[in-house]
Amino acid sequence: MLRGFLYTLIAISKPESSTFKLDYSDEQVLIQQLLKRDNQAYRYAVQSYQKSMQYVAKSIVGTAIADEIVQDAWLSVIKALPKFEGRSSLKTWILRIVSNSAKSRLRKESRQFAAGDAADLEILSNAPNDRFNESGHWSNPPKHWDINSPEALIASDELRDIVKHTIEKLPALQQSIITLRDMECIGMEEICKILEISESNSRVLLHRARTKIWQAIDKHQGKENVEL
Amino acid sequence: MLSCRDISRLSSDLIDEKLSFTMRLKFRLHLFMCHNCRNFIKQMRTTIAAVQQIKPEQPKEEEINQQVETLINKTKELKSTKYK
Repeated sequence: MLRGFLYTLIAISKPESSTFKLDYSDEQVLIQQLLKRDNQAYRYAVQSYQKSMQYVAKSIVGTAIADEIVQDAWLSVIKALPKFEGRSSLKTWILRIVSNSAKSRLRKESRQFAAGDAADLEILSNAPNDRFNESGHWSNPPKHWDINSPEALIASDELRDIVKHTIEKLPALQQSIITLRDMECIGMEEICKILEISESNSRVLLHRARTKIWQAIDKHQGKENVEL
Repeated sequence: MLSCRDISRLSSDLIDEKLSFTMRLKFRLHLFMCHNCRNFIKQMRTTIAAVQQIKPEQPKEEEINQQVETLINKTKELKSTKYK
């Protein structure tokens, strides 16, 4: 309450001149401006959060109605924003709203699993072990990589595209987890709450996603070596 | 004794420091003896660090414009229904 009052005071004391540029990356500024229904704040929020919202929605309800869920969630965000208490980051709060909208939609339609879940669960039970022999040793060991640092890997347009493309092609839950965890650095506990999955399952799915990206890079590096 | 398959399966837990002390010891022992697994762990670390350095995808300009417009219209509707 006191915190909210202080932010309001800060917001009021800021000059409103057109030359004053607001820093929307400051979460408190963004919240104040969203409350004022500032179009630029809407733009910044959509630019920053829309993709993650889509990933979360897709992983719960599947691709077909994910966009609809995100639309509903945005409206809920604007409606509920005056009650936002800042107990979590704005992004986590928004993603929880998406998750709740998606789950309540599933309940309404009496569905247990989304399309993405089924694919992910199948992968959970059939871990790809084709690179190992029966005794558990490598039958197809990792290739030699010419590129050995993450910076060099990202600097290569081809490899960066391979990584991005592989992430895009992952099953919805894996895509959601690796994006939220490794790219957006949201804590695992928070991700489990947002997606309502157990920590052990989320760790397995994160590992599957990372392994697929490693495999894609390894395949490419192998080709490069053959060409050389 | 951990197998190479176990090392692969537990690699994310090792990198994220989620393994117990005993498990870490078993892991180290295997890595000491296995060149392929040492190579694999190094590559997994590189892969994860690379993913962490990629900026999250942003929606296309057209999609942003459309979404912002919808938001503006919806919030206008909210305002007008509130004061009716």
